[in-house]
Amino acid sequence: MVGGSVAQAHLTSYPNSVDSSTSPAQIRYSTNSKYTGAVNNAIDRWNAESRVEIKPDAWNTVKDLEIGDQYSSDTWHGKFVWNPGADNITFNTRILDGSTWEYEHRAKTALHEFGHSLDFAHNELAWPTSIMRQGKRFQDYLGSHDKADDDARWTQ
Amino acid sequence: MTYAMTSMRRKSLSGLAGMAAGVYAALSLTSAFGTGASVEQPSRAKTGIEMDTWYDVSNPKLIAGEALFVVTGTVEEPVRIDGDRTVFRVSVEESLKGTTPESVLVSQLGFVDGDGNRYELEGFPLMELGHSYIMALAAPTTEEAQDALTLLSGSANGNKVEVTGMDDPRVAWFKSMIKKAENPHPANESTYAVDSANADRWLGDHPSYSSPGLAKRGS
Repeated sequence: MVGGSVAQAHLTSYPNSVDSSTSPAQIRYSTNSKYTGAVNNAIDRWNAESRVEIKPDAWNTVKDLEIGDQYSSDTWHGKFVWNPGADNITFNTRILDGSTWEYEHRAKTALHEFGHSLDFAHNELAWPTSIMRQGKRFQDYLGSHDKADDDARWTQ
Repeated sequence: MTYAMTSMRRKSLSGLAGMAAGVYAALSLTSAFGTGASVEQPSRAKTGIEMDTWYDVSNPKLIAGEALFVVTGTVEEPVRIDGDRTVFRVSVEESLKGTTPESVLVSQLGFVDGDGNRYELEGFPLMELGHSYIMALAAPTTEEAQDALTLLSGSANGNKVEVTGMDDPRVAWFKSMIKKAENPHPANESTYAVDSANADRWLGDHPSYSSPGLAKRGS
């Protein structure tokens, strides 16, 4: 490898939500989550950086991703399910509505879950390098590693 | 994706990744111009679940503090699938925290669909019939199966540790963790109050169960 920066992308072991048959590649989503601000921030931030377009599902498109909420007693505050059809992002209202959870914590969760839809896996990088590190975090923006991962994964 | 009569939703991998599907390969995308990036392309499972947790669920002190019950039990049979969870009937050998009936229903995140696709958390596969585990359990919420306790997902230690019997040293070890249990919720965390209210309500509806309860956790 000659010069330049090197990014080590951390990818999931599942098919991503991206429809690569379009140009540019797209994720078509629908949402009934009440965390509208966090979801919209995640879409705007990833759209600003990613080579993949995240856009609402429409009558003439096929949905790739569904976003919703659940009140669960389990340990997760955000969950991503890879399906043969549209994938699912679910937010745990029991956790995200906690009094110590602010907008930026919910925004981090949404950014993180959308990262899974774009094929990115968990990592243990230092904050705020990557949004794909697990945990409660006051961060409503992507890290430098996320941008490098996106370049590495989605540059055609 | 623009709809067409012949179009199918495609979740295939694109470009080099597509050609490498099913093969664990590391591809170097280094360009001749010097700016490069390496992308590991793992083999791809068709379905799966990933979750983000807000505290270290691999810490047995925290998972024991979060749990309403901790039991050692043997998986007797799958009962049904509820959403993305599988409900198992479990025979309880010993209650390590709280007390339960000898037979309980436990729901675990993950399931196998009619086509044989497995939806499982990586590293935390579905429990196997006839096997015994230490299970950290919570009361279900009103949006979950009310007759099945929630197996707390993701713990490397307290969630689903398979044991060979009650004399397994890990049982004694986990008991000691329960004594050292810490409340993962900050004292002023409203989630904690919601948990307490939910657990108290559920325990009130299920008199054959008892627990030190969330209100006393961490005290």
